[in-house]
Amino acid sequence: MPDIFSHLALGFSVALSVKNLGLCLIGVLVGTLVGVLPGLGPLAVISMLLPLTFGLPPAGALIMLAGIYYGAQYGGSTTSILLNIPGEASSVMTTLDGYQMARKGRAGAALAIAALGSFFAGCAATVLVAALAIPITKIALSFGPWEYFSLTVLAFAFTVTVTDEQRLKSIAMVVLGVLLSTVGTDQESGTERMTLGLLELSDGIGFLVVAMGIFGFAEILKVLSAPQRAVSQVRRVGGLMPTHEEASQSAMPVVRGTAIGSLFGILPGGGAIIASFAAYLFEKWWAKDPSRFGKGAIEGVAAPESANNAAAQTSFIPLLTLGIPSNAIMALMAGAMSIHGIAPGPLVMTKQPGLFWGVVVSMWVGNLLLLIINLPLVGVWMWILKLPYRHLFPLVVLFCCIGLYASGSAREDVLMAGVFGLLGYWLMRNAYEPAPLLLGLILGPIMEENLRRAVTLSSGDLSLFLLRPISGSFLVCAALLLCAVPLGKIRVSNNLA
Amino acid sequence: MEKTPHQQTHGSDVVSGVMLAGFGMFVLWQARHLEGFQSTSLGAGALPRAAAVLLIALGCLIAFRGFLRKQTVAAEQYPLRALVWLSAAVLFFAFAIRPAGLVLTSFGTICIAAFATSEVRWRQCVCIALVAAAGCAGLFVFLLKLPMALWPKL
Repeated sequence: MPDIFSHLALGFSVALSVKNLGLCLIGVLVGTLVGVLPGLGPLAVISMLLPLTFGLPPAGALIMLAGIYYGAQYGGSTTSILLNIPGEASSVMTTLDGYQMARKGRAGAALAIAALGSFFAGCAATVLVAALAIPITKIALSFGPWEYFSLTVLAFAFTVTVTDEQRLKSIAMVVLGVLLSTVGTDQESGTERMTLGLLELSDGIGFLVVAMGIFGFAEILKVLSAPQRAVSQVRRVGGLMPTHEEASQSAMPVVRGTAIGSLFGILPGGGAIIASFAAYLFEKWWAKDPSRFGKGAIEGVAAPESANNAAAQTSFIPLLTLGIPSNAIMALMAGAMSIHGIAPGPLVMTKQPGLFWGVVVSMWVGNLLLLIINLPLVGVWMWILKLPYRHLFPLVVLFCCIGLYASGSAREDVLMAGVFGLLGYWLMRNAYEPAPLLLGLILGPIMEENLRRAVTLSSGDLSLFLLRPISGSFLVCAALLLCAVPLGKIRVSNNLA
Repeated sequence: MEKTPHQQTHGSDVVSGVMLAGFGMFVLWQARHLEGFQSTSLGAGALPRAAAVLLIALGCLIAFRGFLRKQTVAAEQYPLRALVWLSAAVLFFAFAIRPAGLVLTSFGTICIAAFATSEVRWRQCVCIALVAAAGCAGLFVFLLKLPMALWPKL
């Protein structure tokens, strides 16, 4: 495949330009900070920083935003190990054994293994993205509107299945998101839909408004209403070098975690969180002595940390090749691409090769930066963690407001985000997952456009959705997923076992 | 021993399910004039109506299931203080940004938002607000060149 080398060379030339390198560094630093700080997640920060990327060239913007996502996976492990507080949901599994290792004075080794495992996973995932991109794009180019419609249905089915035990509620959220995406002026017929006569709604409900409202404002409300956890005593970090035994014990878990993470990242609806859960549980099941888990087994750190990093990167594959975001964060990336005038889809690779390969290569560069800078900076992160939340959240509120106002100079956007903040908080209080709503909002137009095109092309013949092989298999998979035993139930009961 | 997710539900599934179904019905009513599924094409109303019907069905199912599980209404209070002050901060920003400019609005937004928690301290809050106002001015207007007025037009 000589082609791949010339593609990668192009990617390197884009990713290593001074500007993009700087943006990558900013992205991974911000990402690590986001991962370290509990109560601030990559979703909120990427939404907040999106409007700021308007002035940046598209490649640089995507490189930075991507850096935030996988950077957050590195940062989350730091607090999990040192403080037993997961900075990110994808680091929850790391607390189980990581903190126990810290209590035994092996925090340094845990941090090192987490970083090295993540780096390996990042490299492997970058190779995977590069290798799979061309074949998947070729297949995607043969997709018709039937296949795209069925793919969005499959993406919804996956999201709903892996999200939570409460599948009915997640399905409701997806449907609500799709419904909200139809508000505004219909592209095809020009009629106004459900705008309640308000001029502000005639352009529809922007995804940024919903994202900032739900993942910015509502998240703050959630943290403020929960009792503050007492911060456990920070454990001595100890030496950073893992013992020979620890290193050899971690090798295969890192590889297995990477494999599991890569798989869960590619699957529509997957992502870093579910990948880390799956990797930990698999490692525990695979181990000769599962009772060691939960008491400081190094495999319990190596596997989930590798998995969440691999998943963060491979989740870019559906977006960059098919144009279908596979989770809420990818949905934001899709939005970022649209804002910069790039329509996500299989043509991105051929029309914007510099951007495509630049982003792919930047992930490897970012991983290298993270490995080099992260461990020395542990002290800095610990100092920042002492910053009380009461100083942090007003800044978040302000940033969200400014970002929203900047993207349209409309106070209505700010107000609407506030409304969605309240709505999002109400949904979270009632145990509804908000992420599927964002996915529905972003995928709704894709779904509708392809549905209408398919119906028109086939003159009303709906059977083609099932008769066309790829489309039919997507729909069958979706149906099986929705009927099967939810993964969540297995996960929860295993956790308690 | 952690509670399973549905035990941690703070609100009532019956209420939320009914509200979702109600919203679906509202959508159906709003979209009543739109064209739906015709023999060879899909009108503007097809997907909204289909989604609304699905939402109504799901809302009813959720409410019914909540009724069967006899879930009680939330025992926990809503965080009124946070809700009020954060809403006030957002409202303040929305209405102050154009007349008052970025610097003053930033300062005010931070001060108001800080009251959302009962741990607010005057001096620390003002300090942070000053730093934030200056920082935002520097970042957004000078560095990123976003088109926003810094000061009120006098």
